[in-house]
Amino acid sequence: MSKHYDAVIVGGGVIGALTAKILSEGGKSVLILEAGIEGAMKPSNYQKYLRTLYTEGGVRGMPNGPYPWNSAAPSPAIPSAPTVRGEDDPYFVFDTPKHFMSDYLRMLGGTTLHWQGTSLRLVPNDFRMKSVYQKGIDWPISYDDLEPAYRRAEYELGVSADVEDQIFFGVWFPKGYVFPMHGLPQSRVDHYFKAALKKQSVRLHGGQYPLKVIPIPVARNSTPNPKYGIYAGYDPVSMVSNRDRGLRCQGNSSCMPLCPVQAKYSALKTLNELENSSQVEVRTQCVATRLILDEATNKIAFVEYNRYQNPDSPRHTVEMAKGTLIVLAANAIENATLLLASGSSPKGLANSSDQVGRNLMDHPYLYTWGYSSKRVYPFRGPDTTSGVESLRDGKFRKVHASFRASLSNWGWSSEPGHQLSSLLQEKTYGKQLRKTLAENMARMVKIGFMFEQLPSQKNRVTISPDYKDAMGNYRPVFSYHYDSYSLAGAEAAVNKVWKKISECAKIEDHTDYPDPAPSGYQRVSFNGKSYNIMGSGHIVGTHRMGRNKKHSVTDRNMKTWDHPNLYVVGAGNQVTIGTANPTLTAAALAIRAAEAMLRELQ
Amino acid sequence: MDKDRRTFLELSSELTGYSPIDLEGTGLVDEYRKLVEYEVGKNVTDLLYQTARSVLDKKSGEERDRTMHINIMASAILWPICQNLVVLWYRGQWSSMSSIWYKYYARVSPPSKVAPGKTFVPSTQSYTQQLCYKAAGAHPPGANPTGFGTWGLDPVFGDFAKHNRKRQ
Repeated sequence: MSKHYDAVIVGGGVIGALTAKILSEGGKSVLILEAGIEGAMKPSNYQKYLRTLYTEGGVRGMPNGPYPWNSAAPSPAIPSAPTVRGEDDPYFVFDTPKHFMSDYLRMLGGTTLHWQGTSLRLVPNDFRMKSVYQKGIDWPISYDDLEPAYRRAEYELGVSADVEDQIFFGVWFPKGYVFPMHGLPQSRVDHYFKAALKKQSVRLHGGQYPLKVIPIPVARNSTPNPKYGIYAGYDPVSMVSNRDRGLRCQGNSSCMPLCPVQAKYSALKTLNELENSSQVEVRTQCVATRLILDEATNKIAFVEYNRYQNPDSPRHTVEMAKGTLIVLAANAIENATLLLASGSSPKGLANSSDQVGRNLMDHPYLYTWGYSSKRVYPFRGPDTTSGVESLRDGKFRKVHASFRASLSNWGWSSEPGHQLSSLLQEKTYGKQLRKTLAENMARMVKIGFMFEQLPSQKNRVTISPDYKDAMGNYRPVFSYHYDSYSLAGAEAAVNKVWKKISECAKIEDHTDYPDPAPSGYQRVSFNGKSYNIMGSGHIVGTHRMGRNKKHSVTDRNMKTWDHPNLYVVGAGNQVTIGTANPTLTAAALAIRAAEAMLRELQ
Repeated sequence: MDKDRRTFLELSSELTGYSPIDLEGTGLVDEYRKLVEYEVGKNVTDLLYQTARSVLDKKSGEERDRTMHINIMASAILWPICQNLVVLWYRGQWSSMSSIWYKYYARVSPPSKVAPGKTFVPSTQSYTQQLCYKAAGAHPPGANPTGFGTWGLDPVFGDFAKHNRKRQ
């Protein structure tokens, strides 16, 4: 039996890295167990993944695309088009035809390797949906409770934004607060919509709502704000392997699946800071398989894990890690399956509430698109720099989902290829082809709408002895659907909001939802209309926090109700999903949890 | 200059609307020529270059266009190759000719390393030099970035640059 740590953390992504940072700053010893390989942390690998991005022709539709397959610790291959209980996805198993279509990456650094970087805070009403709108349930904490942790998260992730743009729906900042860096410049696309939608509004369920285009906060390096902090501003964090690169976004237009210069935050940056710390040990290629309970104290005695040498082979040795505190930080799905796989009861551990794995939420996502009336020159810059954020809250939430509309800077993505084919079909070639293609590309606009989902007992991840990976570990099994609350939001977005936007901005609408839906999309019908919807990769809610142990898995500090030394941390603690991309909130929750752990360890 | 190389370059130029100098600037002329010649085989290559010359040697654009329609676009052997060639330059991807093309039109068997109908990116440079982005004043995702904040300005290179420079 090896060393005893103050904390053993399962998962080397943003949640694990931030928890380790805070605990080690408090002088505590930490072991991080990462299921995946060291991968992107090594500069030569990172370069190799960039080459894969090129040789695979962009692999844009596939966030995990450039990263190598690991059969010892598999990741989902979304978006493939899986069938019910089908084997089309090498990792996910689906129990229902409405699939959960979001992925994550099991590698050191986790899914922050290919996240978009959007770092919006939740709005205060997201924390009290039940009391304000009689939907979902309330959180045990409020926006005010989480506000200090949001600030720390904005520091750790390096968020670029200007405070004056971000004050809406009761979101507040302490007097004099500024973000670490100024907001990124808005794109030509943003300016186009901003001008077209000025003073425009839309009617939703008896209320009139403005269509305000607002720059979004992002964890992507911009110009440091000299007013940040008490002394002299903020030092942007460079690429992990090269201190001269990534200090500012240079417009690689590839936040997903890979930023070539790491101008965007990834957990590699936090882990890199900890590399020389004697307090933190990181072990990669260690898949946690079970938590072992000490029946006498009801504490977790050990984390059992499989250590492997070769990602292509299931061969491994079984080892144990021991800590005063055990912290699961492996994302909402892996945290839930690990709890379900532990203990001797079929309910698993930390599950007296029967809520582990339930209330799984994501942002159902759909696109609308068309040609702008003037050239806006997309296919340049970060994938999105602004959104219509004025529909994220309102009385209509009593009836349907709120949503945000993200303006795409990447045109219709892979569409230039389709356009080229159809021009050639029409026998257009030479100068005419060049001109037509350039002109069309310069006017391609696309909006991505993402909707909130309500927590539901029926949307869940579970495990089954019938479905195990090559190493013999449980694969996640999903039951998941979109309810009418979300779909009514989608209906309002397409038929009211997009309609209004395209009228005001004089868009030549090309939105079309073909049947069957393209790979990665789910075809959904609602009130006689059909939409093709996909996932957002915003995996939330499987181990929610709460006021009492009957309805929740953890308390407000993310400690499990059932086991006095077990914390389960991440977006899985979110009680509702709201309309903010969840990484910043998850990071803030991790900071809050780590501070509670420190108090407990003192 | 090698006569066939000249024909390949001029044909590429006629088809893509980019000047031979622009295409040379990508550094891909020889790689692409080799690829196409390998994929379609010697006999079809000869036919392609011979026919291409009949188009390219015409003096006026109007005549070249007419001959292009008659001699190349009407050919079930040559037009599919030319379409692929345009996609290769614009998107940096090559889709190998179909089995039907090999069997019934070209009447040759596919070369040993070719999987008919399969799409691939010949090299990392093919990806980074895609003409479609160049035309739109943009760049391929993940390569040749345009610099901090440039996305907020009109493009200063590509086909709209002249127009935009004039405006500024």
